[in-house]
Amino acid sequence: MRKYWPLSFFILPGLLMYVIFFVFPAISALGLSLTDWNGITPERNFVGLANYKEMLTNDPIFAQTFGNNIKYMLFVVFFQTLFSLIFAMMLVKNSRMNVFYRALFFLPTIIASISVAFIWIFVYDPSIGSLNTFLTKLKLDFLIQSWLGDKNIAIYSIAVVQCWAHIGQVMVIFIAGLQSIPKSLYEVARIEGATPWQTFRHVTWPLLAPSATIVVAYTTLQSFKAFDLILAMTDGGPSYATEILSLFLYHQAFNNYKFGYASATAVIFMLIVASITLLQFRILRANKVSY
Amino acid sequence: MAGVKLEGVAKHFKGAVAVAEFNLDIKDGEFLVLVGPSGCGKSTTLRMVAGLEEPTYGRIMIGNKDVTKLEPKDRDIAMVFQDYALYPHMNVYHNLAFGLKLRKMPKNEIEERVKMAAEILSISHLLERYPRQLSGGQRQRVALGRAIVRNPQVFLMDEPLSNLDAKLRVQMRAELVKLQRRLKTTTIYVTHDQTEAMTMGDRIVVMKDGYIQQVGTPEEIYHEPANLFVADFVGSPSMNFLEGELCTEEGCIWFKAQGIRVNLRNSLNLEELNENKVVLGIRPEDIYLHRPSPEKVCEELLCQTELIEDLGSEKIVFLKIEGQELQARLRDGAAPVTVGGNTPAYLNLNKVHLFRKSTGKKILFRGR
Ligand SMILES: Nc1ncnc2c1ncn2[C@@H]1O[C@H](COP(=O)(O)OP(=O)(O)OP(=O)(O)O)[C@@H](O)[C@H]1O
Ligand SMILES: [Mg+2]
Repeated sequence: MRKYWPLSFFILPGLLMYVIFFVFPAISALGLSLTDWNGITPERNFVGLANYKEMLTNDPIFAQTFGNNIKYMLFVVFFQTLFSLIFAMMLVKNSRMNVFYRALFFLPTIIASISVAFIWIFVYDPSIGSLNTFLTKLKLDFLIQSWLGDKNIAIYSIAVVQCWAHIGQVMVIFIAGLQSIPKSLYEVARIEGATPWQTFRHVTWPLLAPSATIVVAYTTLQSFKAFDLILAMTDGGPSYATEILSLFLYHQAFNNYKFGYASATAVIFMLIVASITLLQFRILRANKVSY
Repeated sequence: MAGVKLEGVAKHFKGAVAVAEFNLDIKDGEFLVLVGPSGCGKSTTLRMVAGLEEPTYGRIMIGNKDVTKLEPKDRDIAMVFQDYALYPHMNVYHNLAFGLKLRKMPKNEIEERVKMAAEILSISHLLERYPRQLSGGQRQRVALGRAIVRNPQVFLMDEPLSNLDAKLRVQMRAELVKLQRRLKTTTIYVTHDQTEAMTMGDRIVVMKDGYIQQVGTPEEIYHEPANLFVADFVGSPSMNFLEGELCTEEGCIWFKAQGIRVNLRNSLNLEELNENKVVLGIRPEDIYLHRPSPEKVCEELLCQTELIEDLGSEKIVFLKIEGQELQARLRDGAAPVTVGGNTPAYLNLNKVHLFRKSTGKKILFRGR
């Protein structure tokens, strides 16, 4: 290795970018989180852990935001995984029809989230939106909702959009996982007399575990990082019902000019995401399957 | 225990014919080998017996039961796959027990059967291991174990030894035959390796392009091949072939090619044959380079020696005569020849086969 040390210069440009745009902000966020800086005036005072204390013990909106984020995550992870798995199992064979349907399901993934948001704002519109119009046509008027205006359901309405936009992407991971399971394992199960459910339970699901772990890890991260979609659809409203952590720290910084406080949120946010990721990779390693 | 019967069984895949017609009566307890080149329809035939493919035509019986329309699980068969098909997330015990559990067998009986099978295959010490912790040969045993715990009527095996290295393959070959003799379970075994077929089968079915070419004991297949294909496919090194014509002279049938005349010393009605273009076949061990004892009826041909391959216990001598090639296999002692020289080669006329050039079919010409 030693005689190749000049080669390390080649990583310099990338490393520089990483340091300037990630390491430096991360460290300075850590420093800012200990101040009361408003983001505009040069004046900032060291306040110790006061921001953290305030956030974790005395900020009902932060608590609500955190709760929203958990709800959003659970909903997205559960339904996105479930439906993408169902679609993957339906479309696993490489027939011409299936390739067409896969492309169709994948399509939302390549649309910018802002466009997705605007499409669904129209769908969800309480008076002219296609969803309510559709329900009226089906004589299901009792199901009509103010989808984004009702603070009890708004977060789930957005979560549905998030699932819609990403199911195709996750489905592709599952299809790859399913296709790597040898056909003969299914034939053995068939000869041994396993029912479809037993085959799924004893063959497909355990052998899909590595893909499922990746999917769950990825989807969890996605649900924490969801920002543009919610910003464009509700901006956190009504009355903070759809505010999640990423949005909360944005609002603290750029609406309330509490940069110190926002930085503290960012640090907590980073810790949460990092620990979830770490946990999932632990599980992933424990689940390794080899044929 | 039960035999297997296939009646006019055929399989077409979207117009492509995998198995054209298959008629066979497999006896109870028989070890039957399906052999043939790649793509000849061996696996497809086996999978139809298993119920993994539905025949396009025909009927399959196991014992006295028509199973043509039955699901695999209702046929009382077990299959061993080329890639072993072990469940990577289950240890050996659970791999063996899986099928029994699905059939809701009581736990203590499952345990007993798994133990028994493990003992027969000497894998008792591996029960806790996962497939990835096993060698190829051990995995193979586990795959066999999964077939025998179920105690089925028929074993179906699709090239189960082809993923093993040469030495282990020979060893497992013998073990598998012993196991089958012991259990007396009817077995259909697919391979593309003629040596495996010859050494393992009670009877062999040679297939080509979806058709059965010949059914017989290894002896019959080797000594009485029904056509050129079988003659060429079985045996290593394979049979020698000379192309030529038949004609009658001085009351005898002669085989003639450019520079070659062989008096077949036999009366054969050439008119019945209505063609005289033929292929003469003779196995390498039926060509001698030493002058044979007089009771062996031989024809002497003068050949050039091209190459001598020394395999230790035997030598293969490559000969050339008028542009056609022959290989002679010498069992004992040194070859009485040098490379590049001329030598007389003696063809044992009792071991000569004749085939029609047009169809490859065997011509019966000896009273044997
Ligand atoms: N599912 C399928 N769809 C279409 N064609 C098939 C299918 N399975 C087999 N075939 C064709 O049927 C023919 C016989 O296949 P089969 O697998 O029985 O051959 P095989 O004798 O087992 O060959 P190998 O020694 O290579 O395993 C081949 O030409 C193959 O391409
Ligand atoms: Mg095959």
